[in-house]
Amino acid sequence: MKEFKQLKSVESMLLGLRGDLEAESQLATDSNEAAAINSALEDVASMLERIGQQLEQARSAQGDDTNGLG
Amino acid sequence: MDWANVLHGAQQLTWLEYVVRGVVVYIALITMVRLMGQREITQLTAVDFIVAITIGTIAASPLSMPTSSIWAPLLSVLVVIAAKMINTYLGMKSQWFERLSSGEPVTIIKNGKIQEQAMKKGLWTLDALMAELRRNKVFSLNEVELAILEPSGKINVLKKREQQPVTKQDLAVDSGILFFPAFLVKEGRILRDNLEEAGLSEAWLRSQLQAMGVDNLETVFAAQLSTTGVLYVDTYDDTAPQKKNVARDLILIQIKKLEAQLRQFAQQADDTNTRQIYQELNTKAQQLYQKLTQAWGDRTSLITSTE
Repeated sequence: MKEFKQLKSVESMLLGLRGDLEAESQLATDSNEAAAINSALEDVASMLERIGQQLEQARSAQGDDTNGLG
Repeated sequence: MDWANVLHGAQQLTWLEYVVRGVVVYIALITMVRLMGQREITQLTAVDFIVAITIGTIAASPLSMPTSSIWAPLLSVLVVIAAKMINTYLGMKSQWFERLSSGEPVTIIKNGKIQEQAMKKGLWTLDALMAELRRNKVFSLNEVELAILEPSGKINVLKKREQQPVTKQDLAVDSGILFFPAFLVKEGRILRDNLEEAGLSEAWLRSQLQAMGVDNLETVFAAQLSTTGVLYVDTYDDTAPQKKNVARDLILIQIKKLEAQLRQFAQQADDTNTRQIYQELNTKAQQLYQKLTQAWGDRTSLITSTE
């Protein structure tokens, strides 16, 4: 349960970061800036994907625990 | 105006004597009621209610009856207040006395079940109970785990776990407070103590103002730092256009916060696999930070303060 909450917390921070980066990408004034932000967005997306996988595992583990109790 | 008439009463009083009596009684009452302490105002029990009515009734006589002395009613009020204070003091010393004089909390709903006996004892109807629950933003009995009738007559409710709102603690999210909110500029002057306390430099402040299109410090009426590091700026000229481009600093702060969080979670992780994932993400966050600072320039004055 603790791990699940921590993962959700990281996911929430990453989603906030992605939103801010997306907003910033609209304001980029030159191509270098735009490229840096786009690259940052890709990094965040990959981190989100990693967290998503881990969340799935944590969910499954919780499901297994519940089944075990039942 | 005759002070003897004001204090001791007379067959007839002038309007000025009535006014002075009112002011004297008002000041005396305020002083005496303050003696009873803050608790009386916020937690009115049945006894407090009776005391309040008694004081009001006694204090009314010198205001409405010209022949009444001002002293006797005020002395009576003082006695009632003293009795109440003794009552409160004994209640603080003895739980038994407190229960005897003020009553005790009664559980009306326990484990989601209405306690019918307690309802009968307190002369509570279902409609009255629902009205009190609605005051607590509860509209269905199904939502309640525990409801307690306080001696003040109010009901406090603990909702069932699944009905309780998610807290930041549940999500393991920190409060998000990075700075103490403080003015950094007031009427064109930099408040260096506040700037220093926030761990920020004057160069950072000036760069932020420039980013907002403010080149002259004297045009700033107020600049305030928010808890998340956003700078609010108000210039004397409200029509002057301002670029609100502090988002980049916020993004960098977020990344630093993310790094700190990942480091903390890695330390707390129970198994090696989870720890490795947090460490891997932490490295990615550091690379992300470097990438953005290279593109956006040096912002170390701000970031140093957030770590």
